Amino acid sequence: MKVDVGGTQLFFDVEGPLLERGETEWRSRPTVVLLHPGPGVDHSVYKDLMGPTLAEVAQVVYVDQRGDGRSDRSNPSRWNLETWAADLHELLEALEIERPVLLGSSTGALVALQYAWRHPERPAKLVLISAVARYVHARSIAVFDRLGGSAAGEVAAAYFADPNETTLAQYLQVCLPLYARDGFDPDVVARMRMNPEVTAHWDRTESTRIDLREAAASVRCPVLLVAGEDDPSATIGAVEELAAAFPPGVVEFKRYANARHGVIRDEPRALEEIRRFVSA
Amino acid sequence: MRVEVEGERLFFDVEGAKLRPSGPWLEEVPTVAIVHTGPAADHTPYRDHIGPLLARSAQVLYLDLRGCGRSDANDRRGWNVEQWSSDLRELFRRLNIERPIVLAHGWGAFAALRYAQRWPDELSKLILVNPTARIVVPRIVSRFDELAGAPAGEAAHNFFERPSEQTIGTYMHECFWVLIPSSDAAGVMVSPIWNFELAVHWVDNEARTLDLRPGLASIEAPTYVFAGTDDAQYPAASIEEVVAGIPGANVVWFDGARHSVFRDAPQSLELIHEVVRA
Repeated sequence: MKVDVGGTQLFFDVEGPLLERGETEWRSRPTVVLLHPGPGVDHSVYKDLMGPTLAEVAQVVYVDQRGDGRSDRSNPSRWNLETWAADLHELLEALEIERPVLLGSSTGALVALQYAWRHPERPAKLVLISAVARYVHARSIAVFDRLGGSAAGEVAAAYFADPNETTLAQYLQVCLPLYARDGFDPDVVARMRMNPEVTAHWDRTESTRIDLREAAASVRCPVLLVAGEDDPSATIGAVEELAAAFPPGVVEFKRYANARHGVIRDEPRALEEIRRFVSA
Repeated sequence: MRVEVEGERLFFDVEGAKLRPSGPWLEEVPTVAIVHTGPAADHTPYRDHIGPLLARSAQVLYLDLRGCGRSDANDRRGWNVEQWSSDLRELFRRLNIERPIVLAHGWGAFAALRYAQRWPDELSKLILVNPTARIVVPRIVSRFDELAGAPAGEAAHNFFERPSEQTIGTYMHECFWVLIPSSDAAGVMVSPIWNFELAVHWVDNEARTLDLRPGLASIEAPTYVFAGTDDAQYPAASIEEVVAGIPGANVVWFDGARHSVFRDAPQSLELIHEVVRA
């Protein structure tokens, strides 16, 4: 399905009904909106594991954000957090999803945070996976060095210094496999519709300057923060920094040794935690 | 979820993803929109049988027609088949659902038939369970008479001739168990959010003159009818008019099945599933 958000068509898919039979009447389950990583990736990364697991306890809404997957490409001036959060708001309004649980991995988590900042009354809960408030490239390069040797560190450094489609291609070849402890399932990769132009644009522009600690400080709903201690992208130091930025008492921080950016695939307990948090 | 269509918010729910992982691909499955029976009922009974089954092979859209269930019921001027059929189209348009399969049951078939008449090339398949093109009161009354005796026939006569809060109350009391005679009747009774005001309004107005027979010949969607011989509210003689009127319509009859063919003839479930998958 698609929905129009001010002239741009956003693709979404749904898994699991909203209503379930209670003892005496139909009752609503939570609605979880899954915000994909990237940017430049699409909702498909959630289709094999995260979505079906959460659909057991909630209605799952998959979204391709503007520029990605099956949504309209729009144009580079609109590939930014403010727009993606505004699009999310339009989608929730159009479908009358009033109190969603927002789940995002990587940049998807940033969209969730940005949205929560702009509309603090709306999210019921946030699940932020492999998320940071800001990117500190030196920390990332050090982890790439450790996981993949200095060649990986150099490719990452070259990409961060000048994000374009050539340096990105090298980054995807050398660094992306280090995002998951055992590499990625080739079928999962094949199912992605990638848009490297969006990725490179993001890494040239907003990712160099964002700092969502203020957004985190404004959050009032319960937050589950999930991180892999060996994540080269969302380094554990950067995740700790984000965790510290929330008001006292809202965050549950689950961190897993020997897990990386794809913490859900590296560590089955992480998915169990998320399922529990969503259904609680 | 609900979307607003011409001033009223229409409820829908979804079972089953549209795009499903299949090796290196995301495989697209058809969309089936279930249009509930009534008047006055809602989509919830289909969650017990046909919905979950079809969700194995399709994305199932449960929806409540304007005025029904969890959809808004603010303006009774919209409680007519013309509006319900254009609501369906607008809902599909707003959600970008292309060439859906529509599965309509009983009263819901009025909206589905009208949709297929007005926009003949938009539905990929039309699956109708006990559809009729009009309300023929003497037929309904005589079927209730035959199946349950004079009190049921009289209650049906009174409701369809003089619809009111009182006559629909008697109708539900005397006739509901004739329509849904199985052990599930109590469960089906408590499942929907009933809007009896809509039922009274519709029976008192549009139902008196509605006749969709003239447009049946213009329906182009491949049509599959699953019919119970013993549905008193949607009598076999009226179902036959629909089958005869739609070019190339396929029909399967279930002997003794009443209003809920799904429950009374469980073998219908897999046959409907096959149509969706074909």
